[in-house]
Amino acid sequence: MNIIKNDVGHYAGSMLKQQLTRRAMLQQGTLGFGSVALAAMLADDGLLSAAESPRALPGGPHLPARAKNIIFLYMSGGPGQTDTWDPRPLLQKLDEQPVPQSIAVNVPKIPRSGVNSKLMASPFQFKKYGESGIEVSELFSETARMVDDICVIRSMNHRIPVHGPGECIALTGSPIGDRPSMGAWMTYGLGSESRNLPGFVVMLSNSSGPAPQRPGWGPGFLPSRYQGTLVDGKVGVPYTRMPKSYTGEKRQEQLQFIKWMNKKNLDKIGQDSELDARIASYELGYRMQSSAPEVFDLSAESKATRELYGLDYKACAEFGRQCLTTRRLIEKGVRCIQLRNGGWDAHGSLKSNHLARAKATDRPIAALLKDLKQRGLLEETLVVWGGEFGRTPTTEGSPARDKRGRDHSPAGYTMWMAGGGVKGGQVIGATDDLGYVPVERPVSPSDLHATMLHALGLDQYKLTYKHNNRDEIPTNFGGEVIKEVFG
Amino acid sequence: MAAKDVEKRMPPEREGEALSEREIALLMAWIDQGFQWDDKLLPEPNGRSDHWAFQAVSRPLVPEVKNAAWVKTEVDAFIAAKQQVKGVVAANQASRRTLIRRLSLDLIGLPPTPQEIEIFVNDSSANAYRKLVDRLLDSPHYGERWGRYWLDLARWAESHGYQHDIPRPFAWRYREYVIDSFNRDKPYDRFLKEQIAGDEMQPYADENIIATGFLAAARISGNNMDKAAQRNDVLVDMVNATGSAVLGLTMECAQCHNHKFDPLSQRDYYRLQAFFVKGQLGNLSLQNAKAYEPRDLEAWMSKGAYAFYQREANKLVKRGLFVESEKAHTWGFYSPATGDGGVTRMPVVNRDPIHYQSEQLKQTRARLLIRGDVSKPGPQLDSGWPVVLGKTPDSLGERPRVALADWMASPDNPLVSRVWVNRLWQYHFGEGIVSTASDFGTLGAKPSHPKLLDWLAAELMDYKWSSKHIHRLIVMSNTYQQVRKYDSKNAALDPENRLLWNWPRRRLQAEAIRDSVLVATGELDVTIGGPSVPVEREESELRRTVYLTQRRSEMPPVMKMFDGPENVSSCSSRGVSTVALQPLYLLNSEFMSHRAQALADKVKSQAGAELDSQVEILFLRTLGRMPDAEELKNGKAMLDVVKAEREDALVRLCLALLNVNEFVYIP
Repeated sequence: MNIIKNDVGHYAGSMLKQQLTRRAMLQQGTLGFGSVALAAMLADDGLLSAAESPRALPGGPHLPARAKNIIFLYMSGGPGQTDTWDPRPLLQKLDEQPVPQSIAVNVPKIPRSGVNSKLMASPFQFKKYGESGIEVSELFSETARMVDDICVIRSMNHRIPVHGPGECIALTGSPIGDRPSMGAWMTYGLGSESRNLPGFVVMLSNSSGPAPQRPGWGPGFLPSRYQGTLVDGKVGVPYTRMPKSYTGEKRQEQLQFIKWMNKKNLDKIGQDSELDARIASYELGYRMQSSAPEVFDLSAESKATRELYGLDYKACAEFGRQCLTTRRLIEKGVRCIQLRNGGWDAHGSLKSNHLARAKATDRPIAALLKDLKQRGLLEETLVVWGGEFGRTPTTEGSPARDKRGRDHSPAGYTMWMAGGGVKGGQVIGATDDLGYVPVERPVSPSDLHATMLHALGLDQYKLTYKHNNRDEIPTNFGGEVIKEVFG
Repeated sequence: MAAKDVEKRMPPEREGEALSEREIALLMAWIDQGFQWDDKLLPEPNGRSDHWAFQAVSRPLVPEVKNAAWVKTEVDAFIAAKQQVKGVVAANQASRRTLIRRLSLDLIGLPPTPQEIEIFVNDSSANAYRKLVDRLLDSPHYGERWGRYWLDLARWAESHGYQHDIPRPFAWRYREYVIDSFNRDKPYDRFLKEQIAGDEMQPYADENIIATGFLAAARISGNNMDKAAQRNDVLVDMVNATGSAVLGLTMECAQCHNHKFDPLSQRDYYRLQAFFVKGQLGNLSLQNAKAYEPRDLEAWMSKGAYAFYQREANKLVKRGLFVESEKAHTWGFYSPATGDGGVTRMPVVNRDPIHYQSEQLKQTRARLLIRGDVSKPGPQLDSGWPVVLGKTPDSLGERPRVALADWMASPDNPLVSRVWVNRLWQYHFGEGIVSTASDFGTLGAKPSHPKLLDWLAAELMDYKWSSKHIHRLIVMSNTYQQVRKYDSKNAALDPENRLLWNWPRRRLQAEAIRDSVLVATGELDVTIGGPSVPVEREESELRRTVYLTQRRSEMPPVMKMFDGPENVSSCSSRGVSTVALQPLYLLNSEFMSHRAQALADKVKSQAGAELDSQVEILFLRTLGRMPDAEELKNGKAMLDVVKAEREDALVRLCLALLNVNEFVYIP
């Protein structure tokens, strides 16, 4: 089926503002109302995401873009920094000791800081990897092989020790959950390259523990077409399967009838861009229905690829599928993908918890980085890893050795970035000798967001959306680009 | 202030001179001495503004227009006057068939049945249209449609929100209250009072307590250990929602600093918050309402949500913090200091709920929070409304929120009536006279028809705050009855149709789409009210969408798909997005497949095997009209297949009709 063959021409109606976006205005200015331009615009606008392909911003990106895609590997529950990416030798020595006063005084007074509990040495060994020699925990021995492509930020911090609001901070910048997700902002800013797939795809895995927070991929006050589309990694985009009795031909016939009826209705009214857009959405829907399932069908992947992502190992098959699907989506032009892996909330039995979580994710993440790199996609794809916070250096729960766990700690934790112009093999920031709070180059979630936007060529102050009569920006609570990330 | 770097210094260079050393020293000494604040010395700010929306409403004269014959209600005079000035020409009146479909979808959110259409189309009496309007406004389905708009404004849902999003089993009583209030055309001032001060009102009525569900629709974070912060978040939510929904002000800006654009100070913000600080959300006893047994709750939520609720409840039972109650109760807001003494506040199920201590609440005094930070309390404040809107009396009496509500409904209040008639207008036409319906502040949009707005506001107040009176003025007008028709001359003069030179068609909202489908298939269960139905049972109880359980994290698919509200903050206008997932939902979801099958069954039983009449009946059931010759031909062509496949072909044609623009737009 072709997209809107007729000359669409002018439009009318009070919904104009909602329908015709900034890019449309730009098109009007530069291209006039030519049918080709407007038809293409409507087609893009109809795409669930966003649309304004390939670049949403008038005049192109604000900055020279390093990356054009982003993958956020969000580890829900809070991986412990001292067990993963932030080795603290002193902590290993002070197992079961109280927190020395010299460090305790600097721990912010937020609930559950655990500062009066006993210290707990990490049950995991650290080793140097790569040319950079960055130390990484044995939990991530596979991802660690890519450490020369990774920039580790050890000085993340904020003040919210609760999962839900923490997840909202990590993914929207605010604990309240009323602002757009970073993914929605990015989709708004970047547009979508794919005409057959959503522009912002979200997949959940192991949703045990804290429940996924919808604002994390929600549109907030942005138009809802910028929200993430929640996709079941196994099934693919929702509602793309036709009812059993249909064949492609029967569906086509049905769509032709709908289109014919809609055109007839439109002719009666005269002109109406919103109705045009709805006509286009059926064609786009059909394309999505035909092409989306293919992206999620991994059966044609080689044995080597299956092995690389660990698809045949029970522990990591789920996340492996999602990581491989992520690579396939990126290849198809989806620009923003968020994978949420749950269950890192190790209040007790941290050792077995983190072992299991790492087993589920280490190999797939390493595979994703490697695969993107060998396909030349890593340079243009920013990969971000981390949770809503880290964990306390002290213990909580049962005192029995392997039953010990750690409480939430937003005061200091680790995240990492790779690809998309990021200078790998470097560490930014440092925590104190126990991993409690940053003592060097503190980085806030908003700083990280500003940096992510920057990597995508988006200036946090220029990416605005008018809401309640204010020009809202993604980094409402401050935040500055961490320039060192890009070397 | 003391910074050497000009970039960092306050005030900024362009805003004023640097403070002198002496001034800085004074401030520092004051901070060192404990930041004492003398309320008596804190002068009441001088709040004056010449912004139009802050001036009292005065009734404008109805303009005289050249085309007097066109004027059906005063609304038309105001509209025509502007059209004349600009030179745009109003469109013709729509056909009766269009009008009944428009009115039904607009007023009750359901399409008319073929019988209703025929009756109206053939009604030759002079007041046929008026009778139709009256019938629809008197229909109990009116409240289901218009109450939903209020639920959006009230950011209402049936769960606590945030991380755990634990269900609030009795929140549906507030939904019922809202629908019922609209159906009874409860005066808007009374409606507000019940919601803001229901627990204080005398004499006691269950209804008033249920109405506090407006305040109580605030979210509560699950396991926030910082109880002061958690409580403050709830207060902030209540103030912001009240400011936005009722006053049309963006109060939230003033939480951390004086409003940058509007004459609203941080003091104003916390004085408004002070009305609420002596109360708390919770389960509240009712005296005459129907009681439910604890196990009844199972039917109101999804299996998963119920199991979760039970687990959380049991944890609290073990800690002695919760007992199931068989006594009638609701989810509301109650102040032990000023609320009716006969109300019992019962415990709630939440992860680590905020403690309820009535003595402590009675003693609570409002404080300004420095930069909105609960750990940095500033001076104490009394309750009061924003200074720019009028002076708060020295004493508000024993029931301060009743005083607040009385002030809201006083003729001197410049915002409440304007904001409400503007919303009514917006829900009829898609856009308000003030297009920023929840921002009447200085940065809000200017009204397209300021006199019409004031005239409607005056009408509202003079007619006992009757919303249905305003509906009548609007829908009886010629403005409302215009046909949808593009006109290039008009479009050149007014491309956005702000002067309403033709009907601003708009897409149905999520609820009306799903409900329309169920009317077409004849499956809709029209039962009014009662507890909510979980989405997973939506097919076994085919109720109107407004009755589907609104757990914040588990919203019905049709609402997620078609721009349902986020239920986080007050929503004054839903967006209209057009995205590819919507057709996929309407074409491929199980729900729609079943509906298409049901529709095909109905069509067959009504029309028999004859293809002509099948197409005709299908058009009547879905679009409320007969197919024209071409439509009949093309429809039949789709059905003209070998006998064994006829059934499937009819189902496909049925689904197609449920997907066309004509079906999902208000014509």
